[in-house]
Amino acid sequence: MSFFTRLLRSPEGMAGVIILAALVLVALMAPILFPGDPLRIAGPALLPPFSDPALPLGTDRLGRDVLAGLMHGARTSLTVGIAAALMAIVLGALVGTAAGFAGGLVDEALMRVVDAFQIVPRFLLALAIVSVVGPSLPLVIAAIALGAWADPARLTRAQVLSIRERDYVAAAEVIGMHPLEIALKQVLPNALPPVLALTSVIVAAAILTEAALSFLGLGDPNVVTWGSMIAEGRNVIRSAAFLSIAPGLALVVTVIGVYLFSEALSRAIAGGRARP
Amino acid sequence: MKRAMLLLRRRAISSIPVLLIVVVFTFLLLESASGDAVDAYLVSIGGGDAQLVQSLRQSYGLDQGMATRLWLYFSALLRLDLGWSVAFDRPVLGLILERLPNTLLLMGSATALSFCLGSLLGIFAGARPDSFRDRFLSIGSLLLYAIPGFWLGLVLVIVFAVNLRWLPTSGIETIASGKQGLARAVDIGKHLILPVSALGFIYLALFLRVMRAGMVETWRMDFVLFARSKGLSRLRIVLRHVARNALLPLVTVLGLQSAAMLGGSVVIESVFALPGFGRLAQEAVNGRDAPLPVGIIILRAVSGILVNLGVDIAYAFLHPRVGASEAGA
Repeated sequence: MSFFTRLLRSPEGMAGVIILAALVLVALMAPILFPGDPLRIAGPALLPPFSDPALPLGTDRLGRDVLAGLMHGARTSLTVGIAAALMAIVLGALVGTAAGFAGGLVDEALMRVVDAFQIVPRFLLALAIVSVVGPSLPLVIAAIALGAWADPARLTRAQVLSIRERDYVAAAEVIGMHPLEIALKQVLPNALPPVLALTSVIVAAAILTEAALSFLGLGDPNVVTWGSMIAEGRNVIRSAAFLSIAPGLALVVTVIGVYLFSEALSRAIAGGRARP
Repeated sequence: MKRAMLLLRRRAISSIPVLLIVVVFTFLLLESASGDAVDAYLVSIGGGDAQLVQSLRQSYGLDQGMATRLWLYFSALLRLDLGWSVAFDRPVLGLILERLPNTLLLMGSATALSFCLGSLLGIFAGARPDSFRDRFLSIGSLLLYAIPGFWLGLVLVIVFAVNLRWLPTSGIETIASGKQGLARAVDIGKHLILPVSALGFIYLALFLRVMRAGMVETWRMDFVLFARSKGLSRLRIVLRHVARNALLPLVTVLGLQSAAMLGGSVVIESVFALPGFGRLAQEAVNGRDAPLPVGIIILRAVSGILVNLGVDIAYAFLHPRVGASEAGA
């Protein structure tokens, strides 16, 4: 049985793959279906949904197209989630490998830094960084990644510590491989799979953190995000609750998709190992 | 007791460098902000000449090198001086302490709610692993994981405050109601129902999952088999034998959650306009007031270390093997 049939076998895995595929499609199609700035005024203000075929989901308080906002928002959310998770995993894997391999004082020092980043709540850290340096999309991504790299670092270090006692590492030492080469070519590739399994959790957390930041008005003001749409809809919560409910539903569906996909993925990987 | 004290001493010593790293990081963060305290002060008094700038920088030690300034910053922290909030024109520590009770009330109630409800549902799900209710609850907890807290808060406001008009939309108490004693406590309680539910429900999922996983693990143990063979009732096995042993990891989760919950409470406080510690961070951000969020981070790091120490002590009491190696040495 191939990897993909295993992935798609469970109903949860199927649902996750469908949700994520649809989201990626939406994110890619957004500039084609809704060209131009999604923040521009497209019609009369506060048009209720399903009343005008040209603006199927209506408009917000400033007359901006809600459907265009939702689709462009998918782009922002996916970009932030994936970019922040990549940064966090790469940084965490490098630091974890260095700590696990060097041992002694270097290990001790690096792990105290990891402790320091774990003791500060991620959201407060991102809030402080964005507020001090200023809101822009790359900075928001970096701030979220900086709050998320500690877990992968800790896990990588634990993996490295167990792997470097294996025989094939001793063999590589005996044939005179450079320690750096052993670290990068022999240990890291074998230490990574469980660390990569953290990716989806980090992606989901990053999407939610970005939404909360832009809800508080700390996102990039030049990009449409679901969080800022919710904040905008909040001003008219008594008359047009739909405006803040719709982007929230989009967030929930996205994060559920990521979780379902990740659970199915880790089960598919585990199943593949059990039956080689 | 001796065992717990030894463990505590070792943990306390190892947390000192962690705190130092946090302080250095916050210092670097403050350094990277454009403009310093003197610039901010000048803006607030409406400008000044070059000589005033120079003398002010001198008196605050801002003309010194980076190492000296780090030392000044550090020694101020030791004197519990967290700096001066420019936006509020008050010391940071006083501001934070003033807002702290509201946040503690919110976080404490939400933690109690999520711990009790989460572990109860976890016991309910883990009593019969892989049954219908177990699957139903794990899908439910996945849903709770995925919901952004601030959005859940808004939806609760739309349903219970705007449409049903059962509860107030925001604030910590009715303004200028003149209520005293019990009537005031009831009023505050009513205002807290929605924010506590929003915060508590979001963090309930983790307790549920950890409790359930612990119970699934415990079902396989020999002592459960023994209890069954003794002919004990199922309810008694579930509560006295399985759930009791699965409860231990929840203590760790409780410690970890307190950090996450503080992050969540920032947004919830802003949704419900609660004058707390978290909303202070957001107000500081809007006022471009760097010392305030940084002060909050440092205070949070200190309290986080204390919470972790508390968790360690609780663990040493609950679990006789924890820290045994220290006592033997």
